[in-house]
Amino acid sequence: MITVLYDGKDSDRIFSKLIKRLSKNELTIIPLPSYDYETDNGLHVSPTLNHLIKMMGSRINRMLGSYKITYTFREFDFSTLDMNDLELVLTFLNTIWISKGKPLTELYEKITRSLGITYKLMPLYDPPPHLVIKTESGETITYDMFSEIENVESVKEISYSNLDKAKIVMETKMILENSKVILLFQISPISLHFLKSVGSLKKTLENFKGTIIYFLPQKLIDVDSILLQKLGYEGTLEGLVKMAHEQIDAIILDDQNQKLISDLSEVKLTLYPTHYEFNSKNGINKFVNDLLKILK
Amino acid sequence: MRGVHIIIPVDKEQMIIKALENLNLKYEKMTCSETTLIMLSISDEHVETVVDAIRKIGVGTLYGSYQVYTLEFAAETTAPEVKPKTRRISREEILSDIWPQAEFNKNYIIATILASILATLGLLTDNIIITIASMIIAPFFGPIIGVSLGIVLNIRELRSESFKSEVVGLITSVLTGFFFSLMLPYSTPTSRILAVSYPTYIDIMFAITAGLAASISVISATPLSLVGVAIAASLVPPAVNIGIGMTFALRGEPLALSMILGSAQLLTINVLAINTMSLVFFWIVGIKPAESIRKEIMARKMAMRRLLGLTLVFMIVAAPILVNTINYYHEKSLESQMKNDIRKFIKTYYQDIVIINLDIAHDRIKNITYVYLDLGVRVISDDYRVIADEIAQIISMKYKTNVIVFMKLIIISREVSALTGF
Repeated sequence: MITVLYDGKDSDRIFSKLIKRLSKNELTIIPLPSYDYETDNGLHVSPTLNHLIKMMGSRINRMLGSYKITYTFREFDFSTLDMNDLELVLTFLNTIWISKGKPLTELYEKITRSLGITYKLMPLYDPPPHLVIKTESGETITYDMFSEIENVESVKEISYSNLDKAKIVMETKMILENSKVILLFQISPISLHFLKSVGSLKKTLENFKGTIIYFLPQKLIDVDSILLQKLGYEGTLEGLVKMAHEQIDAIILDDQNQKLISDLSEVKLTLYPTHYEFNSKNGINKFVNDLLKILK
Repeated sequence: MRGVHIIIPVDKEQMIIKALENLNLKYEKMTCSETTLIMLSISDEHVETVVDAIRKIGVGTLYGSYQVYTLEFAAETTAPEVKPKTRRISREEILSDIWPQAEFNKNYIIATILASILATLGLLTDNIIITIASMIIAPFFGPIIGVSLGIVLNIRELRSESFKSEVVGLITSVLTGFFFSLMLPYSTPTSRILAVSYPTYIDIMFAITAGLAASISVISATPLSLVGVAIAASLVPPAVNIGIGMTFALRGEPLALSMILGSAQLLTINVLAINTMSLVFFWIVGIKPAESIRKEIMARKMAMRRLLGLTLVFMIVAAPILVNTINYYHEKSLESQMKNDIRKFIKTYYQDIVIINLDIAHDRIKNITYVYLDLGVRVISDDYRVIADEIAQIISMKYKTNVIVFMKLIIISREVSALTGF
């Protein structure tokens, strides 16, 4: 059993290729709610789930052309969220399910079935917590606002709301505990912060008997570097690994990054240096082959 | 001294060389079109450092392979900059020694049955040579050490496989003892059987020492079969003695139940003592998971939990033996004092009498002291009849116990009297 924790921030091509090569019965994908946020009017937006569904659903293309839903809600400030129809539908469904207290496993099951997604998708928390980023001026902003670097630099506090009510889904917990490998698929510093700061999940990962492998991003974007520094680490890949190293057993990293390999020689972790060549089909295939070798 | 061969694809060569250079190691390398062979010779205690450094970057798991072998002689060895924590062989070598021995398979069961047959024969015939022969087969060494290694290294497969081997092996021993003793119809409890049936603190000390000796042999690459004898000596005789006790129970032997219970107690104590000592020892010498700090923390937590559990059960099972031992010494000391008092009394008031034999048995539960006294006299006189009552009175008053004295008067010939001064 392999469980992939995904936050949708990188490498769609590798992710799609990888899951195609893994047995559907042995694979569970868990979208991390680390970027989930709530709008002022109470909508629960889950960018990771939205991204994952868009990427995986085979019937989605038929729906993407329709602007009916956006049009309907144009009068409300929902339209300012810059979402397409599918994302809005998912956001509404998510919000309805959470507000009515219905199980999110049922929602995930319905969504995957209706969109022809054959992989097992499981929610991590029910109800999910949501990200709260406070700036120096006391303003609350969403991660989407990080396109402007000034916003990132003015971050004062990164935390999660609704943690008192958020409960880890029992079925997901059992899947996690019974997995042989948990793969953190190129997750960002924010998601790592989430894994480290949410008590019940942190404990589950600490006691996990299998192997936790972190597939490291190729490089850090500016926003992530600044956020890493805000969280008290060096704003580099080395800082990211040092942030993660007590929660993981191994990392997959670019074998061309000799400096990182050398810098990590003192850190007690297993390293899997692989060739990060993602621009060609052959490069991706070779990388996925290496990844499968590591996972198995 | 060990030789290490590292075989890797050419494109990974620089990375490996960098890792070796970080440790300040000297090496030789040979490269063909796609593969590079790196060779180095190092001392035993540096193997783990080198293996950890190359495994850490994927050698043997993601690409390439490595071999560690014993070197008879090398003109020059190289030592990593990192100082070894202890002088021991590497974790991988320990695992490759122990894991095959801990596996549950046909050979293990056959070895267990053979060792148990010999132990049964040795116990039933009171034959020390046959009993020692049974121990040399040493079937339980691998499984019992495997359980401890599986805990400190957090390797679930090793832990469960070893535990299975240990439990099934011990049950096989008990059953072999039972069936084989059934085939010997006229056997009776021998002194060796009784010794195993009534454990003392000496047995506990033996098991603790055996556990430590076994662990030391594991980390220092001593021939394992030699130290396996110590483990087998702690486990095989009590296990088969339970089976022999079951046979005796079928035959209505009055000692059967105490044989079964005593041997089971000794077996449990020995298993717990060996497991506990090896666990503690492995942890102290720094045998830990290599993969990550997370696994190390998990292993440490698990080892602590198991250690607490083992110690608790050990104390509960061993408590009666320790209490009995304390009582035993207390009674022996009491009996010795009583003997001295009786000797002093006879010497003071009956100088013409010689004590031929004096035995004292004190029953603490009923608070009765039995005195068995043989006195040598030249002539039987009515004056001597009161001695028994006088002794009973003295002991009873001083030690607050009921006393029964059994006294025999024995006439000594004049020649002997002359020789002994009486």
